[in-house]
Amino acid sequence: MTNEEARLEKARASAAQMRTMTDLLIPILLAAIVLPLIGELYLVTFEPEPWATEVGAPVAVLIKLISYAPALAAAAAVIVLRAVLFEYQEGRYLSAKASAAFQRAGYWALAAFLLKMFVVPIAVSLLGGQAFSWRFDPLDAALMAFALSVVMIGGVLEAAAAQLKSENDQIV
Amino acid sequence: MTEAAVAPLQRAQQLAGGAATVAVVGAVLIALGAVAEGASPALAALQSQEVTFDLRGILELLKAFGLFWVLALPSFLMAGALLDLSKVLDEYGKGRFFTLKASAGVRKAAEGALWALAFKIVASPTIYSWITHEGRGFIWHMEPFDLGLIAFAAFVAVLGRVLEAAATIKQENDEIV
Repeated sequence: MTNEEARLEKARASAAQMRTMTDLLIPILLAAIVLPLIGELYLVTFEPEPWATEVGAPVAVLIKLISYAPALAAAAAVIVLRAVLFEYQEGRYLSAKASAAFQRAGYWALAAFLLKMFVVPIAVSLLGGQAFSWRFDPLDAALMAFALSVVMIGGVLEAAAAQLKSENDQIV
Repeated sequence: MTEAAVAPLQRAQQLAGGAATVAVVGAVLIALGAVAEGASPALAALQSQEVTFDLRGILELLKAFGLFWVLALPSFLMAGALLDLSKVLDEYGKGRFFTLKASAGVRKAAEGALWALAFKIVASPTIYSWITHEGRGFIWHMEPFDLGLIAFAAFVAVLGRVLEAAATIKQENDEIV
């Protein structure tokens, strides 16, 4: 095996290791999000606080579900990234599938921020939960820009992959 | 090469070039926003104590300065991550997709985001409480949403690392050719 092949093999092995780790981490991540949600749903249904009693159990449950939507969208972004690791593990670094998955993950992360910053506060206040208050958080704005950049990177890589495929097809 | 494949790539390159500029502007705005946000508690801390030209006054000044940094640091780190991403987008805008600089930029940006989240969740609240004497232990401000973000940033960092390894190999190949 040449030095180059060995390094390529190392990169693939690293992607494979990460994929195994991902397979272990995703259930833990989902559990870390879903278990507190179940706990909160139980509490607002069977041991409601004064605000939950005021709005009623179904609305309180809906408010809790909406509140967890950003976290679930962020988890979806992580799950989508798994496909990228699979492609990298196979040594397909510039494949259309990997690039599209990268872009989709960025969209999910972006959706998570839009939900957190705008949709959840408005929906919760409309449902009679906490009063609507919007505060600019530079860190959230920066993380949203980060997600948007991931979308852009995925988009450019996808276009580059399509061009590469077109070049290859022409040669063939 | 078919035009159908070239046109989206050119469009994507143009978008990436524009997005690189937007990322730099965003980083500057976020840094300014962080300065504005961090400055008010620091100024309040200064106003509540009389700043004198003795050791106590200097300590109060240092405390106010420390409060400002503790509150603003996560946003500064994220602004740095955005600058790294702007370099990646700039490379893509120039049509250099599989370079060491671009791949390393993805990794560095994601690592910057991880540091920013670590400061936001643990370091900043803990140091803040130490400075203001509100507490002595470790303070966590973690929501389920933050957990998802940490995992997302960590995965992007891993992907950047793998891309970096692959780009290194490509660079070596190009040098040999």
